[in-house]
Amino acid sequence: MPVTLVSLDNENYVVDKEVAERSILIKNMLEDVGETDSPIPLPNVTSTVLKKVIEYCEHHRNDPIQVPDETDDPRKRSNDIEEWDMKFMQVDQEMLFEIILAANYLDIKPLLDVGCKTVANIIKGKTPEEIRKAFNIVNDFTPEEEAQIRKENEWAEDR
Amino acid sequence: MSTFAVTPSTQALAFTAAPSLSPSPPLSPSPLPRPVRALELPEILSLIGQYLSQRDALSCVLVSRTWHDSFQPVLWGHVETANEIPPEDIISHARYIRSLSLADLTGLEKVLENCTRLETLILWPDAFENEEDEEDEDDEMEDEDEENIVRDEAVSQANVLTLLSGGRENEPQGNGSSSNSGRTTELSQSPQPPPALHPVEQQGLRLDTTSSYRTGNTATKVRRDSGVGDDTVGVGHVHEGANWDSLMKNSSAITTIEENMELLDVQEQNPASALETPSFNQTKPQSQLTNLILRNQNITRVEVYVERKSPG
Repeated sequence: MPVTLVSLDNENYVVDKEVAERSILIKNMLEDVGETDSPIPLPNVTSTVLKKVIEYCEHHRNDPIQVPDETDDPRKRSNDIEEWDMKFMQVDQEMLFEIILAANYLDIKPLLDVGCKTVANIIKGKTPEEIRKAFNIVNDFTPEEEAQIRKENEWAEDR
Repeated sequence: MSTFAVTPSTQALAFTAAPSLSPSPPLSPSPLPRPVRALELPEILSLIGQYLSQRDALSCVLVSRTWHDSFQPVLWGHVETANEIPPEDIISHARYIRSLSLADLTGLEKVLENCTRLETLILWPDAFENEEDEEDEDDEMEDEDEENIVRDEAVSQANVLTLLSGGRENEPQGNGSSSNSGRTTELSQSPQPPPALHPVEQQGLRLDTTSSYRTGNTATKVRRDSGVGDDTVGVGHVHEGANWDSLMKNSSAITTIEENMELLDVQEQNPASALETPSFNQTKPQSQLTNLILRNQNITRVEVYVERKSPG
């Protein structure tokens, strides 16, 4: 049964239920309400982002439900993004962050993971200044605070 | 006295809680408040942190205040070179520390008191070195016997941990939480000859002796890591008296452990194995280890490494 999703800017998108249910938020909603023809408003997602998210969900419609991996390594890897997802994530930064926010809101864990991995890959190997530049972040530390943080975290420098 | 005006709010609650697919959509495409930036949300930042090394996390804590707060737990989650960090710095970040690796037990108590979320404690043999070596026979200290010393330490430390896990036989194997490659060793098994250890400097050398015990409701995992595939070091049979639960309740727990250690010592004299008899004369490190495990109930894993070299 198809489901209608309505974006913030009132665009309607008709998708298969199994696609929509990639979003745990929508899945739970549908379970609560039961069979319904009512469109589902997603007031936090714009149509450009929703289109993108639906594209992801269409592609991954048959993926098995993600189970948390029980690996011993607390550090997860960010270099295991599959090729399709990698291409999917080749968007400008604004869109990247929009996708992350939408995935967070809609509770689409695998998409959120891919988004966070992509950001992590941008961060890797950069200095604090380079990171600020890359993401347009303002340094709100005083020089003293910065020196203090450097000092107490010195031990991690050769990690 | 004010009247208790329950009704209106209850109704309001009931109304909003009713599942509905059509909450009033925004009437006009009102100008959004300043868009929330993903990189200002702590929950997003901490997800990103999962994929960063400590070195990268160090850069991140220096980016901004928000980032600092979000990436500190990544930076301090796993502290490997604890002995090189001023104790006051460890203590001030102790709440983030989930895994701590130490080469020296000095000052441990104060640090561990503050590590309320500590899950894994890793001890390198240096932590025991002073206490043990002093009482080891001199010829064991000679270079050509290094492997034996290592093995000896491995065995004695394994027994320390085994003792801590005593009395577990009648409990189900509480290792559901663990997906370690480590092999679980039945405590009742007879001592086996240890596998030949490779040179000490070989990193990643590990032999696993895994045993688990329970402290109250907490399944606690004690893991021995040293190298060599699935082989296990010899683990002595633990006398039935060493019941962990009773130790936990017993105020003289440590004394009990030490007494049982002597029993173990006697049993270790017999096995027809190539094992050198471990020496249990020194009780100090064991007591410390016991103490800190008793104190930090969140610890679910203790690893003691055979390599003498500390990391880094």
